[in-house]
Amino acid sequence: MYPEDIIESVLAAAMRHGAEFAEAVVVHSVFSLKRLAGGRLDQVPAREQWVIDVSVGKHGRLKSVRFDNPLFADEAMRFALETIDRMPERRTYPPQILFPSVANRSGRILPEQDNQSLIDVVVNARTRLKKFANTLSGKVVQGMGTIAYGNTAHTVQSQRFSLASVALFAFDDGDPSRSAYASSGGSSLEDIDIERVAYELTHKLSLMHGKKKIDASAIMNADGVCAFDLIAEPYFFERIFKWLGLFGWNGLFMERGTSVFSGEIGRRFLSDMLTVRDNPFDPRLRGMGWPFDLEGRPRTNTTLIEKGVPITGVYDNALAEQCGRKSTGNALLPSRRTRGAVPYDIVVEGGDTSIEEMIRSTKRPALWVTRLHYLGTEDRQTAALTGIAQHGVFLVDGGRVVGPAENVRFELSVPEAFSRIEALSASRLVLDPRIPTTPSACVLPAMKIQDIAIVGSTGRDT
Amino acid sequence: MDTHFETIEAVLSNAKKLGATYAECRICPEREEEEIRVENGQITALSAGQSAGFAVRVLVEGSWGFYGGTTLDRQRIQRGLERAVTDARSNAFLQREPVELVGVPQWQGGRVARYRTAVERDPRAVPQDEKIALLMLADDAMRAASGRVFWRIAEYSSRTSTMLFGSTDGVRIDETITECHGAVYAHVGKEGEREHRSAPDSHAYFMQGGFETVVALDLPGKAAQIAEEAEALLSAPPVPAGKRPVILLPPMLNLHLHETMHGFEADRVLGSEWTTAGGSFLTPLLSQIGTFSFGSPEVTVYADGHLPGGAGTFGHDAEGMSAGTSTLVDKGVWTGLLNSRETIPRLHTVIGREYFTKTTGSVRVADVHDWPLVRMTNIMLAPGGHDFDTLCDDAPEGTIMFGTNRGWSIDDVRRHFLFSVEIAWEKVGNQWQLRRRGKYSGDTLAFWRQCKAVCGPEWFEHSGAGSCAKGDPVQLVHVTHGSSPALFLNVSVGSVGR
Repeated sequence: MYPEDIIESVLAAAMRHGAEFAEAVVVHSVFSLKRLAGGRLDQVPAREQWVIDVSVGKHGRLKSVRFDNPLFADEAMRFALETIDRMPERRTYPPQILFPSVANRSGRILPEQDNQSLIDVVVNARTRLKKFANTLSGKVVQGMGTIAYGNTAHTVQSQRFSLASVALFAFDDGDPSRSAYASSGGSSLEDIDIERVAYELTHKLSLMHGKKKIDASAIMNADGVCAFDLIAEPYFFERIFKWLGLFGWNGLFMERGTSVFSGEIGRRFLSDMLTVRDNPFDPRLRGMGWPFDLEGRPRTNTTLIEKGVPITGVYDNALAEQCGRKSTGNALLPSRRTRGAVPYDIVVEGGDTSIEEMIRSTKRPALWVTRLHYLGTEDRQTAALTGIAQHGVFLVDGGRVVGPAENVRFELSVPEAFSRIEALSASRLVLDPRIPTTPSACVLPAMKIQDIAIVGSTGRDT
Repeated sequence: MDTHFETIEAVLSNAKKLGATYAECRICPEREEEEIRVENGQITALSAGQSAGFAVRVLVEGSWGFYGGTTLDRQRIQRGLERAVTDARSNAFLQREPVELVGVPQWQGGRVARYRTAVERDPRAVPQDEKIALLMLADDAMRAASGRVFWRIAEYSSRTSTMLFGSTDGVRIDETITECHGAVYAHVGKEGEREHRSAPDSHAYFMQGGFETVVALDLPGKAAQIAEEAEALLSAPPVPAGKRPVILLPPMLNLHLHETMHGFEADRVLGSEWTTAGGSFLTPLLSQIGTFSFGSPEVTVYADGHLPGGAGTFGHDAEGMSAGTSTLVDKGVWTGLLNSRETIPRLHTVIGREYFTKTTGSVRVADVHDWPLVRMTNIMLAPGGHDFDTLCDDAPEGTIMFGTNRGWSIDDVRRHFLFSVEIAWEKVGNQWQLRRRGKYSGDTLAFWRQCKAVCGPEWFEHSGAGSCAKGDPVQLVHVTHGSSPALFLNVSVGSVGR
């Protein structure tokens, strides 16, 4: 059974039950994952999954339904159309035009979803990280599938995708307080740069070994404030930019006035070093970009921030028409469209300053941080966020690494922080998927940002 | 169901033939979901969802193999079993020590343990018009209560799920769980300022039961109250910065309890969760379980898998063990961990002695095809003996009282936390004055050791989280928590944003 066949049968069922318009997204995926804990194989989830998400229209009303077994299609369509009259009658904006097919424009397909390939990656990682063989944790994952879209206006899109990634945590002497993180991935196992991952882990742990951690939250500057320049790896920014995608560039929140970018279009309020695009064709995505959105519209390169100036939010067809704008090709699944639209392929343009150069140029105390844990929203409208920097935190001063520092809690306002960017590294793919059933990669640089407030650190005293 | 149990029997029999020393098979014949959302007087979501599927987990040569899918076809389930067995054999190459499971109590041959949520009104049988009318009433109450509300949301959802389970230990389980959720949210604005309030909770709080649980929430009454409160917040001063005594009300304290107790999950303590949720501050303290001072003597925390109406209530867990009740913290002393058949032998190796006599029955899956994980069930802070009115009267000037949670962040070993709230009050001149944008932060051990009073059972309230995340791929489950208002000393407080 192919997704395209299921779309055809779902649309036929919808029309049979009286729909005037119908659209369907079918995602079929398989994945296999090896989770490591303390050097041992811990959990080995693997599965095949279907997501079938449909919207039907009749008498100026729209209704959506979602299921995961193709056998439910007829009953689901019958239910949706029997109850559609409860929906409010209003102007609806389904994409009635025929979009050209952009199927299979990108994406490399894995030769085979075999367990042995994943085991080989684990063995390779263990060999390169022999020193930490008993403390290595993390995961190796491989997934592939098809995302297909079809509607009764005869638009049909289909994209095969594949992804593979490794994300590892190594612990010095098994001590959870001394840890390093690194990840790598792409559209196939060949994209995993295990050499880089191994280098980053061993280098960071060697900088920690045998050294007492510094509590940076206890160091105050001349003004009695705990604030540091931050040298942050690309990993650190993944969740911040995905958060901005959900609550910042989302056209629904921009129009409602609750986004940090509401009312800021065209006004410079970020560093002119910052340019952000939603670009499915960026080669650094390694073929993982989404060539069409989930209402079948071919996607284009959309500039979100140009040299510090917000250019646009992102919109689907209905949201754009309601607001008098043009769709940017960012529609969500039919059943999720009331939540707005989000960028799919965030690419932050980088610079040419390496992390080593950022460290060398540091004249006052700074923190070099690796990964961000538990991003918390303090205030959506001002993009006031908090989180913990961890798995590789170092105090830097006088152009060198002084020593390892304890995990630190920061508080920042995104527009304020991103107006103080001092340097950017070259951008690269960051892929450590929480749900490996669809592509979700970003292209991000490391950044050096001045004056980030530190409000606490992980305690170890008992 | 008999046909599905026949499939399970065939899978278990074939698993043995293929060399499995242990196998379990889970089938979900059907899960039905419904979601209705009213925004600013219009229905914006009226959706239904259906799913089904299976999972097979086997132990072969001491190593796990697993496969899940969204099909009920017996041949495809059989192919899933074969794939799981093949994977387990190749996984054995990486397995350092064979997986060891603690035994299950004797299971009477042919017995199928059944559990059904007690439901007065099956949400699937309640007319949709009645549900919509309830939400419209709540929406109208918000509109009428404040002219400053620019975004009103009233939502309802329900889920009914059947899970059949069999294992080569003889266990056979048939459970059907029904949950409902209802909530209202009011967003207000004035001159560029925005505030919002939620009820009954800011996190989708699912209750096990029928539509009667949603009616009992009195959404229209709560809707009017939160709209008025949200408008009042627009002109309230922010919470001042400093170290203060704080009183946490249940809609905040329950979430704080939730975030703390993630550290009491045995798989996290053993390092399984670094890729998603993190570790635990208890890892280096394992040898001190039973004696370690976690909190003040006011603090007793327990897990209750039997709580009527709890989102973490069931008959048997996802590895076939009876739901249980266990004490995790007893009068301030750390005494327990949420655990599983696999984690107990590993814990005993680290602890250096036999400590746990049985599992806590707290292994759950978010969806049928997910890997079974140690999860929270219903976690409660036991009520104390204090009277809430007296606590408020006796609280020193400057005490801050925190209401509904707004944002949260805690480090990966569950030590340093920061929570923000939708609403707060400061005691000034013996009056509790409204404050906005409150937050508090600190260290988990210092915080619970500074707990000076917990109010009595008459002040006890349940709430929970509708999207507790854990595992890889991430699994979201519903949990229930309960607490009474409690007083904590010397807490860092302040305000967020702007």
